[in-house]
Amino acid sequence: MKMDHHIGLTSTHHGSIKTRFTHRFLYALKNLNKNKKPISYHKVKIAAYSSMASAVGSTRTWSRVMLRRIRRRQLRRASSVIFRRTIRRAKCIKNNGAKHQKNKVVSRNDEEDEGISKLRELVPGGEIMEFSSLLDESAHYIKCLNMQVQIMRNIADLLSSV
Amino acid sequence: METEDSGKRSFELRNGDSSESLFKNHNSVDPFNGSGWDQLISMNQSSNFGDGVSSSELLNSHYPIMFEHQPINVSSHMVPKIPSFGSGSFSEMITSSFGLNESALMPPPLPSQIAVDEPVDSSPNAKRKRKVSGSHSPFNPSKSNEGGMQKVSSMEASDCSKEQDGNEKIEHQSKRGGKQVNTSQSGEQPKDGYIHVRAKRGQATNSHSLAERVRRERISERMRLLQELVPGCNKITGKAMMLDEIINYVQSLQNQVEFLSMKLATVNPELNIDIERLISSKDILLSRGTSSAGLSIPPGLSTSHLGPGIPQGTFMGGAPNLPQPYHPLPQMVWDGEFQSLLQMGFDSHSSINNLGPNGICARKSLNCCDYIYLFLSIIL
Repeated sequence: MKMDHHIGLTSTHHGSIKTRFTHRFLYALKNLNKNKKPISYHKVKIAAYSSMASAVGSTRTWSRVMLRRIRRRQLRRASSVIFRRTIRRAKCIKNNGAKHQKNKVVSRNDEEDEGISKLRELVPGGEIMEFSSLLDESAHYIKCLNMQVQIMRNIADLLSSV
Repeated sequence: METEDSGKRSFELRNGDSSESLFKNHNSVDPFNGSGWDQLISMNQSSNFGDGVSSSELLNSHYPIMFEHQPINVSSHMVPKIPSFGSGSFSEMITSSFGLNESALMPPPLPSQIAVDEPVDSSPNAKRKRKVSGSHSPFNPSKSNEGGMQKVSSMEASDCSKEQDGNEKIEHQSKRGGKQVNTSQSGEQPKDGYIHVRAKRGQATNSHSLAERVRRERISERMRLLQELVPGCNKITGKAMMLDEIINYVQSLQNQVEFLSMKLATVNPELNIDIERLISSKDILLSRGTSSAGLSIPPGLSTSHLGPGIPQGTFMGGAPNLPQPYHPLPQMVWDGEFQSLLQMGFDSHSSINNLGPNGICARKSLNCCDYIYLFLSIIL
């Protein structure tokens, strides 16, 4: 995506996660708008997530995993060869995650188990995390999601009000 | 030393060769026998563990923990406190018996080792490693009981919640002191990334249970954090319910993102121009911001305007230079907004502001102002 280029450009810009996210997301929107066609909401969503993850940087597991997923998705579209490879890799990761989970969850009651496994699915990269770090990451993820929602709402309000 | 040999044996049974040296060190704790507290505890221990448990074993199990695992950070604090440790014999013991063995204690911890730390003292962010105290489990049938020795170890190990009056208190103090003692001892080479866990009275001191306790505490701490984050989660008790609530919240947020992106996708094409303008202004900002050195600075302005971290005063000074139509808001509003912006660490605004006075063409500065407004309305 062209967006990546801009993200690279703006990576020198240090600010809060909020400002970085706003920059990147606006850039992404602009790039999506370049070819005056109607955009699919999916693309906007991807743009929002990837700009959030790149704004957070690689310090968090969830952002790394999210970026990796998005990149893999792009690659998948780009070439079928890489597609196959990544599929294989994805399978490996999945298997590892499953194993890990089995080991981790030994003696908890069913409700908790269910909740935890759900949470693992929701937080990117949660499948391979230890429980305590899962909680940590999900706390950060929730914060970022909050911020994202707030800013996206502001942008939407602004654009629709103009 | 009989105890040492037996300890070794038991150790070998459990873990393997690697931590033998450690084990020996633990055995050196024996001097404790001399201390006065022992009686009650020994009673206690015998009741709890039965005949098979030997005091030496207990010592082995607990003391290594106390001594070896000291977070580096704490060491400075710890040293002065050493004298506070209850029995004089303890400190003596440390100096005498442990001094020799330090080298053995110090070698890098085996991965399997459990670090025991008191959760209160350990910083949450610190790396946590676990040190193996597992090799020294209090329950070894092969050991013979030595009456005097148990005190601290027995206290820790004993699951009973029996109240022991004076002795217990003393013991607790001594335990607190024990930490410091550790530091003093480990002061030779402070260790990184260990958690220092102290078992309270009546808690199991088994390495596994200690590690598990640390883990549980960490989890509950993070749960509390999450609880604060998720609205409406405060009243809920029970992990499962809380998890449910958290999951619902995350899902709702993700749904919101989806909804908003849908909205943006529908809104966008019509407002293409607006976004274009918005972002082109930002492009200008960014390009100028990065190549700000190339800008010609009007004589009236100080170079500080170009720097990313502009003090507010200079910022205010620059603002009036903007063409009148472009800051319709009264000056006070500008001040407030810019202050908040600066506080937020939004550096690109400085470059924006520079652009205005620098006399880039009027349209661009208009864009800048628009951009500022847009960005403010988006972010604030």
